[in-house]
Amino acid sequence: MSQRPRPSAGFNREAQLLRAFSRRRFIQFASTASLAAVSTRLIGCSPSSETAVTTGDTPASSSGNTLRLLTWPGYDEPEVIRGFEEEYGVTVEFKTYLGGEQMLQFFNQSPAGTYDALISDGEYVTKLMALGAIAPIDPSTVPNLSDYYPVYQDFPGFYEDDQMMAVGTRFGNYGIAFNQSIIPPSEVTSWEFLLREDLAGKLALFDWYLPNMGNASLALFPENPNPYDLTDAQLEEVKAWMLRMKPNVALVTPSVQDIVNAFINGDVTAGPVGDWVIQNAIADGNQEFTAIVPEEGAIRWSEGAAICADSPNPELAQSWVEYMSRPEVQARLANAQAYKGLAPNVKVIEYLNDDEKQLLGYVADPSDASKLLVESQLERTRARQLPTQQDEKAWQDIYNEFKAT
Amino acid sequence: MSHPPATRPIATPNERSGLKYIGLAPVVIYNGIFFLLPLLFLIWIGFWSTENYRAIPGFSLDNYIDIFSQLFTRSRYAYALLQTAWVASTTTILAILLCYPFALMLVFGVPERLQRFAVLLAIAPFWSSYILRLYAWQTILNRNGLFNTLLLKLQVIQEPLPIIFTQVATRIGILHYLAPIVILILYLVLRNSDRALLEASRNLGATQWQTFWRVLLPLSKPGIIYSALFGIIISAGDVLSGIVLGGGTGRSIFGPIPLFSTVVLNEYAGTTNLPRTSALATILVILLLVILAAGLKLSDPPRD
Repeated sequence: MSQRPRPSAGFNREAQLLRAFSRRRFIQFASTASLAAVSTRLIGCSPSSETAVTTGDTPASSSGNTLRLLTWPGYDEPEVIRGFEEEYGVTVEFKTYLGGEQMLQFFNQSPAGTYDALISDGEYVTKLMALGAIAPIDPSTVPNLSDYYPVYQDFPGFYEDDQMMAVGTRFGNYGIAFNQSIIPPSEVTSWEFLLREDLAGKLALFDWYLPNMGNASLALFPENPNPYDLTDAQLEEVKAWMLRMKPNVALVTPSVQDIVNAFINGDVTAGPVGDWVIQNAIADGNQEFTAIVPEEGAIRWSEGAAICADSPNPELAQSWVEYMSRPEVQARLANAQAYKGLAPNVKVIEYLNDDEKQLLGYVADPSDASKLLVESQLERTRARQLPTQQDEKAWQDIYNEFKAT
Repeated sequence: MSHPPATRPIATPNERSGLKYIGLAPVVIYNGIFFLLPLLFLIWIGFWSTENYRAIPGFSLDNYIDIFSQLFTRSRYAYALLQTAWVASTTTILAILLCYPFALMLVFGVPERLQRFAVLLAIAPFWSSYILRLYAWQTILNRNGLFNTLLLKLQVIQEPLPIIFTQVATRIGILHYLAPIVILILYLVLRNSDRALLEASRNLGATQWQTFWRVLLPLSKPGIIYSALFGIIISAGDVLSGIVLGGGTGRSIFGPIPLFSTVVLNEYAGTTNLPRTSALATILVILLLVILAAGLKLSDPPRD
């Protein structure tokens, strides 16, 4: 998705070529380059993380005035991190990942103490705990928490038992994005929309089983408080629903930019990918795109900042977690160039300009003027989680079958 | 003007000479370090297991048992292999059919002094990044892309052709990568074919077509076989074209089924289960090695 425009070894020539391209084009390249890096690793089978696309090299340890972070793209953008570097007189080095599994892999393959802090999605906190990777956070060190939406003040995904392990930084949903110049918004209200026969070969999917199967679960069982808590029989129904959608699927990719391209090029008309994926295209003037949360609800992703258990600079890491909780910082992160998001801190709205408010949804909900669109979406979305009744592999197998059918 | 057949050295070292080991050493060492060792490592990891998202060394057949139990159900790996076989073989045949006339033109149609320059031009696509080329193709092949716009303007079609996110698009991407390699192989083989035999054929009254069909084509058989090997191995191993142009689950006559390489990559990206992914990759590598061995056997000159 994103790479700061600092060419890493091996891509110098491409970087020169890419100067003639827009940043968007560069992001597109970087996302595929990361795929290439993963595939190279597959064949070469090297357990080192050297081949992966990164925003910085990975020295074995960091000194007192360098903070080393493992994050999703966006956190590394100057508008987001420069304030921290100036305030604390330190340098922040980033390694960015695409997907929680890649985050675990990068973390696992680096020597202990490589990273001071990281960004984890809610459901990966448990996995990081299993690895002994992250340390508890004292809520009193994050005073801005009191300004958070109630959901994110004590978000279960960021807690292990009663212990807070991460602080929310950004969230978003996997609702239905679509081209409203082709399909009138009045026709896009329910997940059933994705099964329409006239959409054959017109859907784009983000290639990950959790959001797609979670949304299918919501489509079938909207009253279920946890869409990932399904009986085996219900899981079979989810599978059948996915298979019904399959003829409509044209693109399944982990690359956000490939999805955006497919929308812009007219190759796809819709997809359960959410607003954050296409908001960059909208910001670029493609007003024909929009996204909604269907009436049954949608799956929501939640990113949070956590401190690494082996951090050589735990205090500085703590300071970064606190910094990321500030509304002015979350406002910049929400409007990051890599992809857009929403802020857990309510006060963010004071730091957004009118265009940003319009784009991100910090405006009155047309169907309920007493709420912001952001707030009603937050109410109508359910956190992405791990399967509870089956192991992950059972779900992944179903997802693989969906892709290979 | 006649050329000696230069496909083989004029003088080969004595079979019994110890020198041959020194001559072979760089090849053996290079292949050992950069091919055999990683391959053995890959195969070895395929027998490991995972615990708490870490790969644990050991020897277990569980990965293979699980994979083979899902050949036709659940993950349906056999279908992805079938898709790969279909796309790779058709891409290879296309590559040879398109590149053979091109190489013929280079050897027999381009004046000697311009040939090097012409070959340089033929392999020019290699000077740019593969990924950039795939994205360039994306802008050409998409619904509102150059190709469809042109055909619509010329009124050849009324509706844009759905090329992007099909295996047709995947093939185009691979073909663009493959063509310079195949052209180079065929050019070298055709250029080194014995001109005296071609002249003899003409002198004995054969037509141009007969000379081509009965002399030149059989002489270039090794080149065709090597091209086919490169074609199959590159097409079956390539992952990027299937994702960028094929859309990850590109449609073919077998339906919207991903290539096996895409499956391997996605399993790794989705699960980071290195042992299981290694087992999947090993299956692909072994299949390719079998094809390679068969091809080399085919290209062996008959011994008498």
